[in-house]
Amino acid sequence: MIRGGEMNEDAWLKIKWVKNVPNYLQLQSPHPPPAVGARRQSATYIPQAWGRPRDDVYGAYDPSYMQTNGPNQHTQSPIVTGTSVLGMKFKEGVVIAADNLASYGSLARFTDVKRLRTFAESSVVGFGGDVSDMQYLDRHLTELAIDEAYASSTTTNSAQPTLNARNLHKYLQKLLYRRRSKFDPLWNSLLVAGLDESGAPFLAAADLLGTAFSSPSLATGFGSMLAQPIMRRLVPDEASVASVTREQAVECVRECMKVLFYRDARSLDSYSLAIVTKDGVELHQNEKLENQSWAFADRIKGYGTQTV
Amino acid sequence: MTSIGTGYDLANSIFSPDGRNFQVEYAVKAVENGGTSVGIRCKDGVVLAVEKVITSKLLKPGANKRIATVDKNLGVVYSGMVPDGHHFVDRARDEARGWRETFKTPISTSDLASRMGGYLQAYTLYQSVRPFGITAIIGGFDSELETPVDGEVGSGPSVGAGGKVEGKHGGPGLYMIEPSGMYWGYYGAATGKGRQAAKAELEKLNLSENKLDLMQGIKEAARIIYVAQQDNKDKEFELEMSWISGADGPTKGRHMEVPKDLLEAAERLAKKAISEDDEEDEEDDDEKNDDKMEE
Amino acid sequence: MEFTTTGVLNEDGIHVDMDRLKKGEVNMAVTFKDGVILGADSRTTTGAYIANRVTDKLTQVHDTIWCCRSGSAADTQAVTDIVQYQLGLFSMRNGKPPTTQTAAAIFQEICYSNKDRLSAGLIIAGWDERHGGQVYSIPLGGSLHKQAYAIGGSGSTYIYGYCDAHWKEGMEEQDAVNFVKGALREAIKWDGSSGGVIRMVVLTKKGAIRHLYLPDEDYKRVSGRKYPVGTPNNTRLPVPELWEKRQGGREVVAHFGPLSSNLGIGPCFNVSSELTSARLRGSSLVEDM
Repeated sequence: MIRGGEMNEDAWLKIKWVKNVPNYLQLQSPHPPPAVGARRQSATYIPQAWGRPRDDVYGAYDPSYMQTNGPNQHTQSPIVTGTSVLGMKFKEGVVIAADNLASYGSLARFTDVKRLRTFAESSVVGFGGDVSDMQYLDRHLTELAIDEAYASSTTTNSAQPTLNARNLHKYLQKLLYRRRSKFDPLWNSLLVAGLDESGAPFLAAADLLGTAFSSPSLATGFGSMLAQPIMRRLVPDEASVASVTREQAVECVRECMKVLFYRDARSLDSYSLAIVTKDGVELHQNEKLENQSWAFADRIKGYGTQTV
Repeated sequence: MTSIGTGYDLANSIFSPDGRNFQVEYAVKAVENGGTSVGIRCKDGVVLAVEKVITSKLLKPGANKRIATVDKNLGVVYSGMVPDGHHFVDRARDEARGWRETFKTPISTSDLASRMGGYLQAYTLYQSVRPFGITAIIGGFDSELETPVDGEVGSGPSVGAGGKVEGKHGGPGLYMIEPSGMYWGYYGAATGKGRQAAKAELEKLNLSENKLDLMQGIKEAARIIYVAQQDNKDKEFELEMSWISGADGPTKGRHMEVPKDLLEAAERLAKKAISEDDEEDEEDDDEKNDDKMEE
Repeated sequence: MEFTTTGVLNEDGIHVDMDRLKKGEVNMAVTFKDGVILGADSRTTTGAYIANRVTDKLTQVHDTIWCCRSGSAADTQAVTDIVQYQLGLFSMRNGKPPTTQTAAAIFQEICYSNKDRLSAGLIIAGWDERHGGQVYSIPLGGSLHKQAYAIGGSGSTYIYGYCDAHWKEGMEEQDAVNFVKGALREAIKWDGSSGGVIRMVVLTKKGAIRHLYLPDEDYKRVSGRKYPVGTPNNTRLPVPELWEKRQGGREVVAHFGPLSSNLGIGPCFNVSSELTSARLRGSSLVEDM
């Protein structure tokens, strides 16, 4: 207790205690701490400041944190993720594939996640990247398909959806670009497979930046490095598509899925594969990799000169 | 029967001394002038049909649809003022979208009827609005399957969820909503100009026994529209029909137009049935034509 | 000045340590023949300090829809409270109980649209007439996964192997209880952030039944309490007399002798009169704490 500027033993103890408390407990208080020589701290009489970090310990409060006029930063990083998507055109349609894994970092957390989603029973979108954003897009596209059906049923008699794969791809690309421009991207790279307005096979990619491109064969993620060169052997250019049969295309994509399983540490041997033609979408969701090659491991001994 | 409003019919928010809202009753009159609408709840789905009166020869046949789809699994048909019907459909679609946004699953037939009943009722309360000049029939099929949450991934146990209560889930639903906002569920519903005759025909079908199937339902709906139109023969009309089945039925759980060939077959049978009725006033067996229609 | 969301200012400004939030650690939910079972440990830590050793991480959001919370306690409690309110409103407005899907949908929307603000990993498990027992998992980013069984919390990484090896579909109730207990015991054993008692909730057509297993009694069951369908949310637990009247029979098995002394917190109970002991037996302090 301090009376008339004097200080007794208790007050000294108190000061020591104040000095030794962890930093986060040194808060401003309505009660002035006891004076110690020249290092007397003036009490704050502003109630709003009570409980705030002491200015003499921490410096004045910097309000720039929690300010509302700075850039609003949504941008996260993906958490539950899917890996590559592959797609390839053939004479009458498009084949597209993606495995059924959703990873959580390096943990193979969900092994039954179907990353190929059909749109209006006429197109397929294959999603790589964040699964929660994939689900958002899936719900968004479901709503879009319902609205498109309203529009087509009131204006025409045809049940044909007004959004073909080309329209759908353009729509998604615009959506992805708009979101990245808001610094709130949808963390996906996707392939759209289907038919264009003339009924020709259509295949195109779009990613979280809103980048879009098209090619007779496409792959996202690891697939763009490991699978794309293999697929290009079959369809090097647009002209070659007409000579590729459905069987050849499916076979090639299945081989690529196998290569990806060998070399992509975030992949799975169970995958989905869809074939889109003018007859609609044929979707297989529980394919298994077949005829894998591992037996040669028997011949591998040591790491150089060892032979046993 | 009808009394005049004597000043109590000028606005919605004023009751007459004997407890009537005349504006609502006048709205019902608007409905009674409209082309007949019919809905039949069959054991495996719902059929909706409407007598679309042709008001001009300059209108394109088959255009200007009167039956509308809401979400994927619901259909709406109405009698009365067509623009009011359009607004009703717009609102129903908004309700369905709102439900999906919140609960990530399609709205059920009964929930949509409830929402729309509430909406129409609000139009009987305020001075600034008039009631809807339509009576609407909502038909739908609530999926009998295990419906996923929109967007969900993954699957539950392959042997099915534990402790599920066995028995029927989902199924067909049929509701009729009047200008007052009153709505009830029906086995068979009819409204518009020919409703009396149509209701009489619907009652003969014993729909509560739940035996009539969709194929028969289409045929009966077409016939009932033609029967109901008998008193009004000089007016030209088009028959418009839609149907909704379960996931294993012909429409795979969706509301859609009845295919052209089926519609035409049903119309042929309907015309034949009423011409036979004209010849012999006595019509005792209405099962005579059952076997005529194919797929 | 850089803009950050961690609350850390560069130089020597204030530092709000977002990593020292209270976290819950291992929990799971499984489907079985007649419904679902939720299970969790009871440890809540702030860094290495155990802030609560008898936490209840199993939270009711409707009669037979419950959830396991992991991640920030504050975040998951806030989210759960919102969903509980929404589901209560749903049942009143629609005159029917919400399904597990309804709950999962609302949980997911909150977790997804606030993903940059929340640290919440949730498992939703529920029973409803239409679908029976169901389990949904909502991990960090706010995606929604339907699963036969789900595990969550930091301790779950230690039991992926155990669960995959021992899981069987359509188990009998006792087998499922043993599966959950076995898995949680492993997590408690190997994960420093998991520990304390094991709590379970069994959800079936009949309602919810709580189980409690204590570490110093080799995780033998010591308590059970029934919450039949229709038990109002947030009500105080009924005293046994009322309970028996309502149920027409004693269903409650609560065992209090060795328990109260082990709690280590709260008042010490003097079980003297018949009445007091009867009340205590029913009022299940352990779950209540």
